[in-house]
This record gives sequence, structure tokens and C-alpha cells, in this order.
Amino acid sequence: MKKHLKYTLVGWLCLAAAACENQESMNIDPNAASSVPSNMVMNAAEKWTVDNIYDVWFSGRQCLVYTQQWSQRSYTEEDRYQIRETINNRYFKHLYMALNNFQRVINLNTDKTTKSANSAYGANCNQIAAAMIMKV
Amino acid sequence: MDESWGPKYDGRQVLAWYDLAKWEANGKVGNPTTSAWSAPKHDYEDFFETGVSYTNNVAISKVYDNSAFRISYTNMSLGGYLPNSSLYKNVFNVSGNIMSPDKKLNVFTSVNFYNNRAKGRQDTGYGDNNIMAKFTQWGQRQLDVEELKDMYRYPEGTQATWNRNSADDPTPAYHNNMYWSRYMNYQNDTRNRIYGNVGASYQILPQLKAQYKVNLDFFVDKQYERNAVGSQEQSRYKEISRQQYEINHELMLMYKQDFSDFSLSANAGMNIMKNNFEYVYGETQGGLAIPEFYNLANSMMQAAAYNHRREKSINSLFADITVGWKNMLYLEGTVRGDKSSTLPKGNNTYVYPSITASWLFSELFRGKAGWLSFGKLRVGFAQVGNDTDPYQLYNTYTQYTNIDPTTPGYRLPDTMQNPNLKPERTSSWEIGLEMNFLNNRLGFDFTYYSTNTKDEILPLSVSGATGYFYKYVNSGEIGNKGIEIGVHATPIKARSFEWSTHLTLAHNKNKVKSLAEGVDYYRIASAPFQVEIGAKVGEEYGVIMGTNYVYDENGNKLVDENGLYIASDGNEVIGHIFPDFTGGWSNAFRFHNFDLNVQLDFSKDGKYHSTTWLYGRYCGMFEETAANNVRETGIISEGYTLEGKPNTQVVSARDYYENIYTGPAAQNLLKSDYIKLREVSIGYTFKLKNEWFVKGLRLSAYGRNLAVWGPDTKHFDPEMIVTGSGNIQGIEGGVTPMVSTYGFTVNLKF
Repeated sequence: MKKHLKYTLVGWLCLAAAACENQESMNIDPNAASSVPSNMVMNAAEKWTVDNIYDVWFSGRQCLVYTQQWSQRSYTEEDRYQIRETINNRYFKHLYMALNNFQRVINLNTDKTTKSANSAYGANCNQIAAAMIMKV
Repeated sequence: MDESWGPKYDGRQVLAWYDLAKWEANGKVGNPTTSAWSAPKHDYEDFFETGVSYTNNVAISKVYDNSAFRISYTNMSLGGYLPNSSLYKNVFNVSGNIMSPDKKLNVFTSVNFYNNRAKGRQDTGYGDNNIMAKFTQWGQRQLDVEELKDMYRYPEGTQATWNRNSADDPTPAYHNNMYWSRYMNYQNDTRNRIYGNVGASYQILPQLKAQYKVNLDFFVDKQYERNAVGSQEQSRYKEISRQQYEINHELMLMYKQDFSDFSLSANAGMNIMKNNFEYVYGETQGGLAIPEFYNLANSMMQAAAYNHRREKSINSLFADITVGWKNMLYLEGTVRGDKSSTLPKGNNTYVYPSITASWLFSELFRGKAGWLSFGKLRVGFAQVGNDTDPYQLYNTYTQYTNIDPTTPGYRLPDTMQNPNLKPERTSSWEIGLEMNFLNNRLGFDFTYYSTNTKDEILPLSVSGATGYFYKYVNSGEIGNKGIEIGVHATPIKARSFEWSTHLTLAHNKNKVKSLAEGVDYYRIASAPFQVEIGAKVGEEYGVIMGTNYVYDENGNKLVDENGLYIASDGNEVIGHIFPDFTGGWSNAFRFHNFDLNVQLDFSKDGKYHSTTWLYGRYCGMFEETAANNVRETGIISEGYTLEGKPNTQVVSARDYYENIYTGPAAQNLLKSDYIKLREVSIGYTFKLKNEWFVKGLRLSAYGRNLAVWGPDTKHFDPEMIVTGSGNIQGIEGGVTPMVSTYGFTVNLKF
């Protein structure tokens, strides 16, 4: 009887030990980078801004239509000034997102822990200045 | 042209796509033929084939003194009802156990292996190759499916379609030939899954048993998708591989003892769960170089590869205890604590209890009141905690397009992560009464429940000014209340004839009490054109948001100066997706060796938005757009003008039905009510002598989904929309029709 209890106890302990494998490190996303050099963020932020201004919606289906350089054939809402609410919200969201990325470049060059590492891609102050210009 | 607003079928000669295609295929000799403008000989229903499925099963089992063993094998083959579709399944199962001579130690196992092979699964939604969208949304009604089948390819291999770019350009404008979609742009997949367990138990004392068990569930999925060169969309090949395993180690101590009037059973245990998922896929870029060669290397540009990995673990401790008194009063309590890898430290452990009391009051009347055969009253409270998916705590970057090849771009993601997430909590109360009378000939079961879910983890949309679209948060509170009633009776029970009947009814109401601070709406899903499904504070969970009709103060719909319905400015709640009432009624009859079962199901007070109902009328595809001569005489929108007078303006059918898209989205809302003849089965059991080799023989036939009554329009079976794959509840878009199945079964017992 005592022997069996002992075996059972050993079994429990083995399992408990296996379970103590670090659960926290398991939750670090292997699919996306958690730290990125500032030049890569700057790069994407610029491309993102331009992509979302010279795109089919903001530029093609709205601005070019309003300035009467283009007109639409099959879906003519914008020509008739019937702005689609979700699309219109999206323009602002995309631009705000761009601002957030430029701000991140500034933060990466201001924060004490990341400042010196990121100076490898250009003087901190120059990077900040460039990002601020883009923000405006 | 992909609409169906042509002239009346008057038999005039026209140059149809089939005439042109035949002429082109024959080298453009002479002039193309013409054909009569008339209703097709083979309409869309001829596209569907009769699917036939066969299932075979063999099982052998044997029990020895100290061991038992069972093997079974099932195979199934199914020819689909869509052209070029099939499904094959093989299922193996082995299980058994061995005990020590004193029967204290028992080692057991069970292993199942599934092998699946499918071809030509239906594309759903607004996809390029969802043939249903071509039959019911954008299309033309004079098309003959035999002609489409005959000429979906030119002799040189390119596509021939009804929707060509122009008379001298046979390439597809918007739509593939449906047969091209089925035979050239099909996908196929395979799945191999193995699951089972190995374990051992030991009877330490007569009352105490210890058990250890490990469960494994493992599958590998492969999926191959093709879009042929010459399709309307860019040609493409995609190969996907998914792999998952989940392993559970469970250790348990089980105790059971009776003391005079009391009985006691208690369990305590622990469980370690680990889940690992991997997903890899490759896709050609810029189209395929060589037609009909499906390999990632056949990509115009460098093929793209993606991978995704997900890991999660939960460690748990749990215990439960049940105390019984005189087989009449029972009290059960459970407690469980989980520690999840997906929640932040400090918030990652959650403990939840439950308690249930039940009273079998019929024991009091045992032998005294013969009419009461069973009576039980139960009251319960339970709490459940829940974690979330991995990787929602720490912010990461998303890769973005490079500007120059040496500097990859990274941007912040769309969804802001949240390192302060808490576990989700659901608390529920339940009270139930179950009574049977007259030797169980009549009985009912009644349950009332109320559940409350708090802190559900959702990616709520946030103001764009935060720089993100969404943020993971512990959202507010959703309440859910309902009753369930079951009644059963056996009105006739004689030696040669028996009739029993069973009715179940369920009513459920839920309410979104709060979301997050400053947020009163959460979008769950959106339809491609008009509406969204969401959760709105103060409303039932699952509201349909879309533009509504505009009403005057007397509740009349308002019509504009052109005689068309006016749409509200913004989205409003126009319906709820979940039915208030659902139920079923089954009847079983037995007459000598014959038996008959009939089952009806019903659902009431749910709604859905249908993109097919929208475009089917917009494009003139549905009967409504021509019935009652509306194309000749026009339609009057029922309602009032802005001046307050009844509308009398006649508009053309086409203008009226085009306003279905431009006007209020509420026009495309349908009720999901139905009554359905779910199943009818009939069987005959042969009484065979025990000494014969075949000991039992039963022949039976069944039919499922035989009839539907009561839907808003005959074009859809609402149940298909509620449960159809590829469609979120409440949104319909090109669903495949529901099929009726008929089957015949032979059962032999040896």
C-alpha cells in the first residue's frame, strides 16, 4: 500500500516538473519581430503613406474624380458625391497609422535604451528631424 | 453584360455566345450561326448531379478473461452533386486493454486513424469560382448549361465563356464559364489525423483508484488550389500545409464509498495540455508560366512562401466531490484552476467552482403514488474561466513592402496588443424540473438558465487617432437567458402497435450589457456590400447593421421624387440574427416488425441579410423581376411621398430592382423562419432464430431534408444560411443549395 502511494506521488512530481516549463517564454510570438531597427520602420512608414495616398480609392476613386480628371464607369458612388462611410474612415485610419509609425521612429531615437543602437542608421537628431518632417 | 434584363423570349434570332464560340473553334469559316432567343432547354438545375455515397463498416471485438480487443474499419466514398467533386474517407480504430491477474492493474489504449481525400469543394461567398453566385447573383437566364459544358474550352485550350469581353475578344470579362470553374479551377485536399490514448489505472484500495492517461490528437492537412491560365482572375497555384498536435497528460485519483445512508465519491487530478500548430504555404506570384503545370516553380516571379507557428499550454488542477443521501438528495461541488500561457503573469491563473444540488422527490412517494414514476428538481451554479489565443500581449512589427531590396520595411500592426489582459469569466445559474408519470408514458423536462459572460477578450475597433485599427481588450458583459422544455408521451402502447412522440422547445434571449469604456459597438463580420453583423450595447448579441427605410411618423415607408424607397443616412439596427424560438417534434411508430420515424424541426424570429437576394433581383435573375408582367407594366413602391401623399408613381422594374442595391439595405433582409421535415425513416426487422448464422437482419430506408415550409422566399432554405459553411450566421452570399439525401441501410448481426 505504502509502496503504491509512493509511486503515485513520484508520478505526480514528474508531471508537475514537466508542467513547470516556462509558460511565459512560450507566449513570445515566433511569427513577428518584436524589435526592428529604426531605418526599417522609417522605410515602411514612408511607403505606407505613399501607398495609401496614391491608391485606387483615395486617389483614383475620390481625388481624381473630384478634380474631374477621372470618372467611373461601373460603381459611380463617388462621382455622385455618395461617400462610402467605411472607406472614408479608412483614409483617416491609414494616415493616423502612418503618423504612429513616424512617431515610433522618433521614439526609437529618443529612448535611452534604443537610442545608441539606432544611431548606426544615421545621427539620432537627423532621423528625428526626417520623421518630424514626414509627420507634417 | 452580366445582368439579365434582356427582352422577352420571343424566339427572335440572336448571335449567342455559343454561336460565336463554335464559329471561332472551327477556324472562323463563313458566318457564325444564330440561335433563337428563348428559355434554355437545360436550365441551371441541370448543372447539379446526383451525388451517391457508399459507406462500409466492419468491426470485430473479442473479450477475454483479462483483456479485450476491438478492431474496426470504415470506408466511405462520395461522388458530389457538383461536377468534378468527390470525397473518400478511411477510418481505422483499434482499442483494447490488458489487466493483471488480480485485476488491480489495467493498461488500456485506443487509437483512431482518419484518412480523407476530397476534390472540388465548393468555393463560397463572393469568390471568383463560386458557381452559385453566377447562377443567382450575376448572370443571364437564357444560358443553357449543356452548351456551357460542351464549350468551356476552345480546342487550343483557352477558355470559352458566356461573359466575353467583346464580339471579337473571347477572353472572360467578369465571369468564368461555370464548367471552367469546376474542371479547371478546382482545389483538392487530403487530411490524415490520428488520435487516441494510452493509460493505466491501479486499484490501490477497493475504494481508491489512481489513473494516468495521455491523449494525443495529431493531424496533417494538405491543400492544393489552382486557377488555370486563361481564367478571368490571374492564374495561380497555392499549396498549403497545416500540422497540429495537442497532447494532454492527465493524472487522477478517484475515491468512492458508501456509508449506510450516505454515498460519497470524490476525484482529484491534474492535467497538462500543450497545443502546437504550424502552417506553411507557398503561392505563385504574377501568374503561371506554363498552363496546367501546377508547381510553385512555375511562377512568373519568385514564388512567395509564408509560415506561421502557434504554441499554447494550460496546466490545471481539479477536484470534485459528490455526496448522496438515501438515493434522494445529491450535492455536487467542483473546483478547477487553470494556468494558461496566453495570459500575462499575475493574471494567468484562474480558479472556477461549480455547485449543483438535486432532489429526487419521487423517492418520497415510492410505492405510495403510482402515477408518479420519476421526479427530480435540480439547482446549479457554475463558473467557467477562459483564456485566449496566443500572442495577444506584446507588441510586434508587421513586415511591409520594401522600397529598396536591402532594407526591408516593418510597420506597427493593425491591432494593438494588451499586456494587461485578464481571463474571461462566465457564470451561470440553472434550475430544472424533470417529471415522468404513468410508468414513464408521459413526462416533461423543464430548464431555466441564465448565464453572464464578462471580460470576453476581443479585438475591439478603436479610434484611428490611436494609430491602430483594433485593440485587444477585456470587453464588457453579455447576458443570456432562456428556457428549454421537452415533453414526451407514448399515447398508444400495444403488443402490435406503438406510438411515441417527443416535442422540444427552446427560447433564448441575450443582451449585450456593456462593451469597453467609450465603445458601444463591435463589428463581428461584414457582408461584401451592404451590412455588418455586430454586438451593440443594449441590444441582442448579433445585430444586423445597415441602412433602413425612412419612415414617416405613422410608420409608412417614404418614397423619393423618383418613386423609389429612401435609405436612412447611416447604419441602423435592422434585425437580429438569432432565432427566439427553436424546436423539434419527432414521432415514432411501430407496427409489428415495421417501424416509422418522422422528425420535424422549426425555427422562428431570426433574420439574415442576403447578398444573393440583393443581386438576384438587381440583375434580373430571379422570378420576381419578371413575374406578373412587371417588366412591361412597372412597379409602384408601396409607401408615402415626402409630401405625405400615398405614392402612385410607376417605375420600371429595372429601376425598382436597381434601387435594391442603392436603396435601403433593409430590402434584402429575410426572416430565417422555417418548419422542416428533417427526416423520415422506415425499417423492417426480421426475427431470426438464435441458432442461425445470421442472428439479426434489418432493412431500412431514410430520407433527410425532405421539405421546408414557411421561409420568406422560395429561393433559399434559411437553415442553409444559418449553418452553411463559409457563411457567417446572419449573412448569406451565394450559398450552395441544401440537398435532400435518401439512403438505404442493411444491418447484419452475427
